[in-house]
Amino acid sequence: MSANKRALKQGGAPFLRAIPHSFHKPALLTNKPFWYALHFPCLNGHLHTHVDELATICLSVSDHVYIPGHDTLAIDIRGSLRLFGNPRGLSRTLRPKLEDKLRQLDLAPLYTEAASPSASASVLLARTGRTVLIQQRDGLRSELGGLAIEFLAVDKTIKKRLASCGLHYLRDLWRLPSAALRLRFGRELSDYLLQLQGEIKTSMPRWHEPLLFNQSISPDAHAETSSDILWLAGQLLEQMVTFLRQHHKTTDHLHFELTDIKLQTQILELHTRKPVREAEVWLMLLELKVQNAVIPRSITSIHLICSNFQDYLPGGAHPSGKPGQLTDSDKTTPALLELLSARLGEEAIFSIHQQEDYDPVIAGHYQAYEHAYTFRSPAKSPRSRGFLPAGTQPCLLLPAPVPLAIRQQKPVYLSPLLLVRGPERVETRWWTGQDIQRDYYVARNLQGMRLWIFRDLKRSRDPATAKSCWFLQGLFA
Amino acid sequence: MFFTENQLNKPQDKLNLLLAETPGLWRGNQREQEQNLPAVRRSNALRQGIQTSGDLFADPEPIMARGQSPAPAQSTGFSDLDELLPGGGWPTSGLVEIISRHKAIGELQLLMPLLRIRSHQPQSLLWITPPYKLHGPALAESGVNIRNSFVIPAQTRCNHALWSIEKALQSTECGMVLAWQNWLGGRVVRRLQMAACEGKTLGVLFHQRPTPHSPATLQLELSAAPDTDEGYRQIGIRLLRAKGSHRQGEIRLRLPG
Repeated sequence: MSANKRALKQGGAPFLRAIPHSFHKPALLTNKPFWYALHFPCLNGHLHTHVDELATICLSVSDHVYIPGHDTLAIDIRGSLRLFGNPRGLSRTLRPKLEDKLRQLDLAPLYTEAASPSASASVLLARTGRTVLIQQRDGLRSELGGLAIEFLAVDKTIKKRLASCGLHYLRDLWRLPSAALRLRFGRELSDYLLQLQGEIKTSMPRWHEPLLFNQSISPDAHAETSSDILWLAGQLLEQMVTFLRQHHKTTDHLHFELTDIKLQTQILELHTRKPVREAEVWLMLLELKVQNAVIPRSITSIHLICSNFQDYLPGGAHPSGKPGQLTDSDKTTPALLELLSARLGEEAIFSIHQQEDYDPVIAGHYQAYEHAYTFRSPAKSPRSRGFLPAGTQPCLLLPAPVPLAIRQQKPVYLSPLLLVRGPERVETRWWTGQDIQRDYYVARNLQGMRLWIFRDLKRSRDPATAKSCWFLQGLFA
Repeated sequence: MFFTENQLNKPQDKLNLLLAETPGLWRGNQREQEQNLPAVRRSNALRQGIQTSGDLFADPEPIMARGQSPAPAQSTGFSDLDELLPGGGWPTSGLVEIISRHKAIGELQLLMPLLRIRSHQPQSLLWITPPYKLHGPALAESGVNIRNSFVIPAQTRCNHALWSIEKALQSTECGMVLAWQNWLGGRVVRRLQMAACEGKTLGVLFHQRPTPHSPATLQLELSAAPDTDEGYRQIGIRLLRAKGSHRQGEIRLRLPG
């Protein structure tokens, strides 16, 4: 009994008609895997962004786009909700768009395509330049059998070993038992062969369309002052923050374009050391840029573009350890320090560092603040403070020791110095060839200043330099 | 108030009677007034107070507008200094000017108890253009959390340094700002004072010359003092000006270490 009669008997509508059998053959069956691969020989050595642009075009036929290589795309047709018809229709849909895009990128509009139930097979056929449509899995072995082993996506050493065994084509491998093949040449080759035959799934990185925030605002009245510009930019930043929250992202780079009444565009780039997604921080940085920029005419529109995103981890989340992912708790007063470094320069703010060393200059030094984190509990005091006892080192240190004048055999700094405490000897760095041998003293002058001076023992032994062996190292503020 | 001639024979009696009749008119030692001492003792005490302190209008509390609560203060760590300063310590926000002709007379040691507390709070410390490099081990040895401190070195241009001070004082993320400048005009100090009030940040400015009519919350002048007999370091501190108070005074403080 035909489907139509059955439906009528069960009380269905009378206009149901069965699909003719001739319609079944060219159509794609949704319960079977089907992969469509594209190979672009012209992309060899080009930027990865080109294949991203081509992948964007493929989104029109399927959400599942994969990039097995920088010059190849693979599309999973089975799960597509946008494709209707047969593979030839798919090719006709994509061809004009892909060729246009390749011409826009100044590349030759040539590519090869292949389709089969196996992703690896489709990719291999496309890369070898064979435009083939394989409907059933059974046809894979016969179609792939003629391919040379040198085209396989396996390690070169495996290919050499196969060639040395006299195996030059895939059909030679089909003849060998799979267990022996695995034993002799390894799991990588045997798994790859199974993928080519559609026995097991191929794991490929799925491509996701890169996020882009691209918004502009054009007020009815032109922006005459910087406060107008900032107010408009604030609205764009609020939209951007909403976008970031929706996608769980954060960013460290914004691109503003200000277009004036003469349609000239001024670009303002904002960078932060660590990703932030607070609109107030960006607005503060933009204010600084606008103050320093020369905007000769009224602004008719402001355009905000953000294309650089990092994953957002809220404070307290377990750090994933992946580069570029930072937690909120890792940010060190970002607003203030970002603002200061934006004006003073990247190398203008330092954090204070200490390490164990007898040489006081090395024991305490500055470090670029980007290496520091936010509030941290104080570090454990070093196991040894060097030779010098506690409380004998000053808070202020000269960048380099300053020689002191000698008057009546006494060192002088504004006035003759009186030695209050010392000596405490420091001898170190003898292994570097620039050893230091010093006796440190705490001295006081008539102005009431407390100074940290030392007598260089090496110079004091030499009669030629004995008179200039006293140096000022620090001040006890 | 009229007195008979017998009552007003001696000038001292006149004074005593006047004080007895007008207890609330004269600013003096309010504690003794509360204890209801006899007029003679009160007047003697008042005379002594005038002779010793030299300040007729001594005010135990800063002058506050009606309904305004006294400004909060935090202890300096030195009891003598707490007694000198209005509010009993350093202000929690605002600008403190510390003037000293010479460096290295103990100006940072004076702030060390405050730095220990502030450096362990979530807000960071910002050191702007210190005259020389800060020595981390010495600060850490003194109990300062150097991991919460950031430095803008002395090579920074003056206008950039002043801008940084203002921004840091305005920011709520910064708990304390220490800045060194040779001298600042009254307008600049006023601007920084307003920034400190806006951000509720404590700023300490180290000068070599005092700013006349400074609008800062507190203005102290430091001077070197001879060491004690035991060899301890001393520093002279003179309170030049305190906002909201007429108090002035001078002490000599023994520094630790």
